This record gives sequence, C-alpha cells and structure tokens, in this order.
Amino acid sequence: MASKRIIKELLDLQKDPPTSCSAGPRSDDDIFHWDATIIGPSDSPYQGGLFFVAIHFPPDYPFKPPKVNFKTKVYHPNVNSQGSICLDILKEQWSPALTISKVLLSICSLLTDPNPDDPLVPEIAHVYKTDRNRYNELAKEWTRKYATL
Amino acid sequence: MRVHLKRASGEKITLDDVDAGAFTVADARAKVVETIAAAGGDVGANVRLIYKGRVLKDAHTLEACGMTDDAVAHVVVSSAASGGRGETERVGVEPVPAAPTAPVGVETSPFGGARADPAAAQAMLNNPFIRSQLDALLNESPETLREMFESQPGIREAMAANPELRQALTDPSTLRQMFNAMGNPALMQEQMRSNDRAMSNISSMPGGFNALTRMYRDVQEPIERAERERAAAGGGTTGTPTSNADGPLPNPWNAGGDSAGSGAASAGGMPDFGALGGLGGLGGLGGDGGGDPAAQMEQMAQLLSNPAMRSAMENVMSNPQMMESMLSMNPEARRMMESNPAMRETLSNPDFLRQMMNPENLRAMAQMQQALSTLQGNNAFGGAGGMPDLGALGGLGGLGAFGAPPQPAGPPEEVYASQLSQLNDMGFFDAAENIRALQATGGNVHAAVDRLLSGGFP
Amino acid sequence: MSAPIINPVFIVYGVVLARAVYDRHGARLAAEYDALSRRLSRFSRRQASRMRGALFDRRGERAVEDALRDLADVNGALAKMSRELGLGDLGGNERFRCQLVVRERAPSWVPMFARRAMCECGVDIERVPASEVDVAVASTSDREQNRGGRWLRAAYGYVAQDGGAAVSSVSGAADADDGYEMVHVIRHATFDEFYGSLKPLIQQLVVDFEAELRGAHVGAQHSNDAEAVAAPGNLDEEDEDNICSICMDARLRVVVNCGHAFCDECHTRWLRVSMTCPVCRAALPRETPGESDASFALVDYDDVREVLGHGARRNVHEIAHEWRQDISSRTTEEIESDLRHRAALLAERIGCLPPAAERRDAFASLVDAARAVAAIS
Repeated sequence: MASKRIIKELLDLQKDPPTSCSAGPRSDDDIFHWDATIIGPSDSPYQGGLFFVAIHFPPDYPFKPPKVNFKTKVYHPNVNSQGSICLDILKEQWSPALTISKVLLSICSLLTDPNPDDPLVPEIAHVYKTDRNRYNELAKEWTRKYATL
Repeated sequence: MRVHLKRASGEKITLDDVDAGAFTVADARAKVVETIAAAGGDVGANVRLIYKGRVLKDAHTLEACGMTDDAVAHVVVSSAASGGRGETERVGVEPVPAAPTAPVGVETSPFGGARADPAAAQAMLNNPFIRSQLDALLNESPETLREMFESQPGIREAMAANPELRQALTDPSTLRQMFNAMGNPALMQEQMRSNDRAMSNISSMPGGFNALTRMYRDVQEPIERAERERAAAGGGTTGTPTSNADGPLPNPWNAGGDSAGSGAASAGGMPDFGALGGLGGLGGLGGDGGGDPAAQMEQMAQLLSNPAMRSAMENVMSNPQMMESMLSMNPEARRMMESNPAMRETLSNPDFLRQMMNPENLRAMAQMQQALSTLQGNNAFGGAGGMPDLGALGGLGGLGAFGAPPQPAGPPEEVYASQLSQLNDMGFFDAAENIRALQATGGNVHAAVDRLLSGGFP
Repeated sequence: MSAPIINPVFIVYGVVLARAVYDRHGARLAAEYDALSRRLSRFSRRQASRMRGALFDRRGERAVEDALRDLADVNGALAKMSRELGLGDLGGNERFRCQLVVRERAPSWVPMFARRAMCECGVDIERVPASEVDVAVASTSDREQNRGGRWLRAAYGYVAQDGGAAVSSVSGAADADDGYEMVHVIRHATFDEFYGSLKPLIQQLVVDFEAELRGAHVGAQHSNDAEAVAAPGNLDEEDEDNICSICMDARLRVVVNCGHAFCDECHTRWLRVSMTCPVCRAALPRETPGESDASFALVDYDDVREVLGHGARRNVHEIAHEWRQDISSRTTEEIESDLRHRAALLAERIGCLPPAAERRDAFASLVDAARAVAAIS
C-alpha cells in the first residue's frame, strides 16, 4: 500500500512540480529511496544555491513520516552537520495527509524562516538571534562554497 | 514529445517536438540560454537542469534521463562558479565552524590532530574555559608548556633539528600571539597571507627555494613520520571512528615557520594544542564545583567528543607527572586533592581517567550534577556537606554508576517496554530509533527524548 | 571501575527524573484528558440532566450554546441539501430542521424548582415550511435571557414549554402574530442520539453531496447502480475527488467528527497511531466499548447513499434538472406527492437509525406516527 501511494505522489509531482523543488526515485526498481533538490529561496541568504536532499520512505508510509536529510551542507539553525533536519512535521506532527511535495515546500519555507527557538545547532541559532548580519554572511558563504554548482 | 523547463522565477520554457532519443541535455541547456538571451536576459553558460531530484549530465539524452512526454524539469542558473568545487560538498567532511565538536572525519595532522583542523582548534581556543587555562599556563609556568611540547615525539625531533623552532615555541609572547591568531579567524587569514607573501619573496631570492625545501624536509618530515608511525601503531587514538587514512596534510603554517623574515607568530610548530586544552579542561573538572557544573560538564563532553582532543588527552594522561603538575597548578584541584587523598589516587589512575574522557559519561555526570543541585535546592539532602564535596561525590558516584551505560540482558523491546510506551505517548513512534536512544542513555527516558529531539548524535 | 559507589544517589536521581518527565508531559496529558472528558460529557445522561436542571443557570448555558452551535451546523447542512435537492425552491417549500427542545413533564401543581428538574432536553427533527432558506449560526445574543420563564428562545425558535406540544416560532414565519407555527415533528431524539448518529449522518450526507457537486461524476458509470455503489477498492478517474487522502487508492467510506472522510483501512490504522484528524489535526474522541452514547463518529457510508437513491452517483444538478423537466409535465398533486415521498424516504431513513435500546417503544411509535403522516398525505 505504501508503494501505491508513493507512485501516486510521483505521478502528481511529475505532472505539476512545485517551483523550487524537484524529486524522484533514485532508481526505477527502488521507489523507497528518492533524491530531491531544493533551489535556495530567493528571499533568503541561500539564494542561488542548489541543495541536495535524500528521502527515505518507511515501509509503513504514510503512517510514518519519511526520513529527509540534506546531503548538501547548509548553515541553518535547524539543520546539523549530518544533514538531519529538525522539522516538526517530520516527527511528531506528521500527518498522513501530507505529501512529499508539501514536505519539501515546508523545508523551503524553513530555509527562509528558521526556527531558532528549537534549534538543532544551538551555536548557529545563537548567531541568528544575536547577529543577523553575520548569520546572513555565513549562510551566503556556505551556500557559495557548498551549494553552488 | 514535449518537454517543459521551469525556471526559478516560475516561468516555463516549452520545447515542442523533441526527439527524446536524440536530444541531449546539452542541447536543452543551449536552448534555455538561447531563450533567455532572446528575452533580453543574460545568463552566461552556467545553466543546469534538474529532473527527479538529480542534476542532468550534458552527455545524456532526455530519454536516458527518464523524461516522458510533458515532463517538467527545473532550470537552475548559477552565478559565477565558485572556484574549484565541481560537486556540492558531502556532509561531514569539514566541521561546522562554530561548533566545538568536530564531526567524524577530522584529518590527522603532524601535531596530534587538533592543528590541521583549524576550525576545531579555533573553536577550542574560543572556549573561555580553555582560554583561561591557557593564559594561566602561559603566564605562570612556561616550563610546563615546554614539557608538553617535548612530550610529542614529532615536535621534539623538530625542535632538536632546529633550535630556532625551540626558541619560538618556548617564548610565551610568541605562543600567545599564535593562540590569538588561531582563535581569531581574521587574524589568522592575515597571518597566512603575510606568510605566503614572505614565502613567495623567499622563493624569488636566489637559493631561496632551496632554503624552503630544506626547511620543509627538516621540520615537516620528522613530524609526519612520527605521526604516521603513531597511526600505524594504531595506538594513541581512542578509537577515532573514521580517522582519515590519508597522510597528514602539509601544514601551510609550518612551512613558513622558520624562514628568516616571516612572522614568528606563524611559528613552525603549533603546540600540541589539544593537550593544552585537555589539561585545562581536566584541571577545571577537578575542582570547579562552584560554577555551573552542568554547563562545564557539557562543555567538557563536547570537547572530548573531538577524537583529536581525546588522543591528545591520552598522551597527557599516560604521563602521570605531567598530570600532577597540571593539577597542582589549579588551586581548586589542589585543595581537593589535599583534602581527599582517595581522590588523588583515583585521579592518577589512567583507567579512571580514560573512563572520564568518555563524553557519554561526562554528560551523564552533568545530569547527575543537575539533579543533585536540584536536590540541594530542595534540601533533600539535609546534612550533606558543602557543594564541592557533593560535586566530587556526585562526580565519582556518577562515574562509578555510569561506567558503562548498563545494558540489561534480553530483547530491547521487552526491557524498555515501559519507556517505549512512554515515548510513544509523547509522540515518538519510531520504535527502532527509540530503542537505540534508550540503549544509549541506559533506559533514561528523559535523555532519550532529548536525544531523539536533537535528531541523534553523529 | 568497581560497582557503583553510591546507590541512594542513583535512586534519588531516578525519582527526580521521573518527576521531571511527568511535569513536562503530565500537563499535556491532563489537558488532553480534559478535552476528551468534556467532549464525552456532552453525551452522557448526567450532562443532559444537568442541562435540564441548569438550563437557566450559568452551568447549563455553555452546554446549551455548544448544542445550539451544533444544531446550527446541522441545520445548515440540511438547508443546503434541501436547496440542492430542490425541495426549497419548488412548490413544497419545505425543509428539515433540527430544533433544541426542552419539555417539562411535570404536572402543573409541581412547584417551579422541582419542575425544572423534571424537564427533558432533546432534539426534534421537524419538517417545516421554510420561508428563509439561509440559516445563520446561532449566536448567543439572539437568546432572550428569559431565565425566569419557562421557555428559552433559540435562533431557530422557541423551545417548547409545558404540555409537550412543540411550539415554535421563527422570525418571518407565516403566523407571526401569535408566534406559533405548525410543525411536523418527524422524530424526537435525545442528545445522545443526536450527537451519536444523526449529526454525523447528516454531515456525511453533506460531504457526499459536495463531492458530487464538484461534478466528478459526469459520464456516469455503469447503468447498473447497485454494483457501482457496492464495489469497494479501486476507483476510476472520475472518482478523483472521492479518494481517500491517505492511501490515495480506496474511496471514502468513513467520516469523522470534523467532517473529513477517509477509507476504512486508513482510518483504523491512523487512529491506532494518533487520535487526531490527518487533515486538520482536530482531536478525535475515543470510542469506548459498551457505551452507546460515546461520541463515536462513524456512519456507514453506503447505506446512506442507497437511501438517497443516488446509487447512480449522478450529478445532483442533473437530478434536479431532471426533476424540473419532469415537473413541467406534471400536476401539482403529482409534484406534491413526489416530494412527500422523497421526504418520507429521508424521514424513514432518519427514523430507522437505531434509537437507544430502552426507548425503543416510545420512539418506534413516534416513527410510526411520522410514517403515518407521510402515508396519509
């Protein structure tokens, strides 16, 4: 049943993908592993960057949330150096009515508006809260270094 | 077939009548550039196509990429390419600059690990804890410093070969400058730049290049050799999970160290900085019950998660005299040692110390401390002694109790059944993760929750 | 390192920890429990009786407000359906309405304070001539705070008083002078029944109608209606809007309190994980076994569809259109009887929902009465 839904989502994505995200299975015989890309939102210091994301669907999807990880390094209070994302809908606030495209869009909006009150990397959250310019600088720097093709 | 290309602005470029079997990605890109140019924009050649979450390579045909009729691909325009990076960096190779914990994959270096990792070194330096210890060291006992340097075989050889190096290393003002530089990235950049300039000057002088090579050979090589031996012997590091098998990177600062005319601050050797930091931390750990013990513990734990740091600590600890001298420097530690001979014994026991170096234990100890302070606050402990004693007791007790996270026998689901149900109630549904977290924290639900919420430790 | 040096510390630590965990989460659990029990209490007899007695005090007020709001929702749904079905527009000018009702059962010699304790609250489902089709949400300001009196005015009319006769007055009704209007009471329901089955039933009907309105079923399927309805599982493209949003495979079968619908399997499976609605995250009440007045919210979808004769799942507009075309060739009597027939069908369906066991006799008679009414005319 999970595969039926994943295939359905894939078809929907192909028909009408959101503007800043692209996703698809890594290979045609394993639809439980997807690769996705997120284009850095233009109103954020991540603008111009291309971030790779790996998505893994559990076998009891959609009753369990997919595991989403950044493969590109991001300077963000809610993303750590291993690429784990601290996003509530990927954990306790997951709902089976959410689709991957909605998840990716949430991640995009998380890039634009980080949540420093529940940070995964407290140091970056601290910088974000106290010295916004420096945060923007560093984010841009990292984007330039790691997320530019 | 028809193919749509979506730009970041939202507009679509449609390519009709495309023969998927022959049209390549390169052609498509050219088309995009053309279209944009025709509309008056200038995008340069750096346009990329993304489909199904992957960057399409020029040589493939659209069919090979899996594009079907009416498929939509994304177009990404990159600004001037950042120098030299063909692919986006894989996660985990370089550490986060601000975090004191360096993730796995730290390059080994000639000088015990901390140095080739400038960011980690920098972070450690910025740790006020360590900084204060360093200052104390610098001001009060330069001999101790020298001892520490000499304990590193590589440095010793280099210093022997090169008296100037030794001079540089033992001069407190040089060291201070060096530490400042390491802590302050801007300053460091500055230094490196002046270094490079000096080096280029040298090489342009007649015979200069030879001088450089000689220097490299004399100074760098023995160090590298020592490092390689150490790595080969497999000792020294307490199981660094993925230490880089490649040889140490040549240290740019090193090469410029001794040459005539280059700043002494970028002296040829960086001290075994990890050792310094470690000792400072250790001294603090010994007696600092008065401050916020939990926070300190946490910091220590973080410090020690750095495998390089840990290896440095190992070195230091295997030399009991050095330990003694370090500890006696720290007044609190000294007091405690004097009042509590048992403490002194345990502290000199290398096994015990090794256990203490385990960051898990330290974190557990931090929690213990917190709990104990709550108890103190609630007066639950009535007639217990003053805080420092409690801290020491708590520290030791915690240590003993948490020597290893207790692994009860039996299938984890059963053993942790009640905790799992608690976690489920709180909304953590992933049984496998829950079990892992519970095992790591020894069945402690509170800590497991924290662990789960932070997305797991590296 | 040897065995733990200090055991008591360890134990105390454990206690401290446990307390911390409880504090952190206990509050949340307590809040959830409160919400649940509040919801459940609405349907318990105790609450009903409290409402009776406390109808005129502050305690019962909130309960009445909630009830009124729910009634408003249901009435809105009913109005919408009657609009769509064309009941309101055509000659019949009738619609169904739910009315909050308080009945005093005490004979007149019983003093006031005792009388209050003996009145009964419930919901009446009525068929009324409707001059206004729009139903606004009841606002408490509409209520006349006539605490001392024996009736309570709701947005939909006056609540019955002694004697048991259902007297209602609606603004703008025909007999505005003395404030009375004639209503046919189709069914009396207690709050339990209302919340337990009627409200969700009607909500589900609306969900169904809305889905159909979206025109997803043009090009109706097979002429054979029964098959189309009965076949579970896979759907054709026309049923896009009726797809379960979780598995995206099966059709909608079950509706929950907040009005969102899913297929059987997904609904059961998700509720095992979390008692919230997947779409809007509203808290869903628990179903307690053995308590028939627990706030379950599940109604069997297929029965309902059959009843309304929409087995063909055709577009509602088409049906209305058909009707209208039909009607032009028919006499007034035929139209009337047709409408009455349809109304009776619905009434029967509503009346056929199983009432609480112990009231079977009383209600059976009422239902018979309703049917009789329908049959006679």
